Amino acid sequence: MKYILIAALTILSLNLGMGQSRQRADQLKPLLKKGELPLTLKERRVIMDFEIPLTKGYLKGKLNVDSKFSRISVRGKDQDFVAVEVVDLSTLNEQYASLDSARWLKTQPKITYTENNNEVTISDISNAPTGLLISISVPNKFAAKLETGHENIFVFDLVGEIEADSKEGNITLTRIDGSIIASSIDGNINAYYKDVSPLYPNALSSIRGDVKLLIPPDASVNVSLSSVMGKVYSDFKLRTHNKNNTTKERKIKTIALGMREASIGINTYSGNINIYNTAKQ
Amino acid sequence: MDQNRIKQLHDKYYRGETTEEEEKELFESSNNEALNAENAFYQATKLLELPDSFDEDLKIILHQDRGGKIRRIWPELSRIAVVLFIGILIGVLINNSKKSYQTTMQEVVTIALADQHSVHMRLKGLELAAQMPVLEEELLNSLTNLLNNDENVNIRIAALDLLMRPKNDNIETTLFDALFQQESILVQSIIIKYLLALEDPKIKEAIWDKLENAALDEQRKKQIRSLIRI
Repeated sequence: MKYILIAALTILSLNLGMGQSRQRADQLKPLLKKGELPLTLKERRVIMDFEIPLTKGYLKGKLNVDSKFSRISVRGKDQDFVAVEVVDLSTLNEQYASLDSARWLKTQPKITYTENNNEVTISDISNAPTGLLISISVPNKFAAKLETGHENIFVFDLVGEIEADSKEGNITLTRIDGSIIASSIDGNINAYYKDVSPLYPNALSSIRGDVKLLIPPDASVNVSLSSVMGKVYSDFKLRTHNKNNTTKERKIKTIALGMREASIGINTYSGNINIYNTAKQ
Repeated sequence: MDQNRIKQLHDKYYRGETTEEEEKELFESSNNEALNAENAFYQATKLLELPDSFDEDLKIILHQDRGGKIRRIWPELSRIAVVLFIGILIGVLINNSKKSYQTTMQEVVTIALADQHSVHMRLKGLELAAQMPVLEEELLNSLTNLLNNDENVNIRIAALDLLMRPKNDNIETTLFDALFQQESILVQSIIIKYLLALEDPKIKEAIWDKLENAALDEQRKKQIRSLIRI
């Protein structure tokens, strides 16, 4: 009787264990979705939601947007999904709607999406200016990698790591609590920090565009900035030193705030660098 | 006592013929230091004279406390040896842990620098590398690779700044080669600043010569020339 009981318990526990592992395997199975956003000449507007699986990390997921010819706007919100809305800006102005129909037919905008667990990728694969705005709301703790050629990038209220690159478009990042790595060739970079995360370093660079940085006075950060030909302005006290303490090397200016736990590096070629205190704005 | 009597007793003493009474008489009356010292020694040996029961007593003591004082010295010596051993062990461990910490750091940094999916991770790797006292050759190679191939300009600049930090004999060659592998005029301008800072009198001429045949557009060549003049 005793042996039968032990055998029964063993079988039961094995079954439970296997059941749990089956359950875990189901949870880990990637939820891959991919396709094309159904944009039509008639509608020229599409909305699509992507559910984001719950995660235990401090970031809920990642958004990738790659767009040569469409504007990108990303906003962090208190939500557990990613909502993508693509709209033809010309439809908002009836006066130009008919003209833009011809442009639409010529350009034939094409936007694809991929959702793989907690990572959403949106790609505008149009090959000419579309006049589209790709507006995306994400959970406010989210990473973002945004890339555009000729149009602007806007990001609002995001906590996390942001990577933004443009060739000509401006990059404007507002109320960011996290780390930013941004670069542009001809576009300006405006970064308004709510707080600067010490988790990852920050770096902003533009060749011909200006870099404007707004940082709170109570931030704990070391800012180092250098411009080959541009001018530098700061609300905070600037210190000048050589990068490697030799006389002819490039001069780096630094701003030290608080315990300097985080770091921001700014480099421009001919663009100006302006550092503002958010308390004074 | 007259001198003759003393001499007589003295001679008798050395012949070993004196009685106890005579010896007493001799020592009391003599100022002879040698004799007095001998007497003192004699008295002392009398004090040190072992009792007849000594052997038995010793056996009992040895039985109770094997080794006696010698046994008590050993714990002290072994304690010192243990302390010394622990000290040496700690020293070795600290040294090894320093080495292993450096090795671990090098590995962590190398892995971070190779992370193709996250530019934040690569920049973090560069930040960690900047805190290391010595950059090993493998890491310097990684930095050169980032300078020449990374898709992000910020990473290239950070790698460049870091390459300039350690004493690197090949830095001029590294910078010279890297100058013509850059698309960004921003990175090129920083490389030129660093190259000029090395104060090699031939460097300007070398850049100028290579620029003539470089696969760059005229506008870029003009920009580089103006940077060299600065």
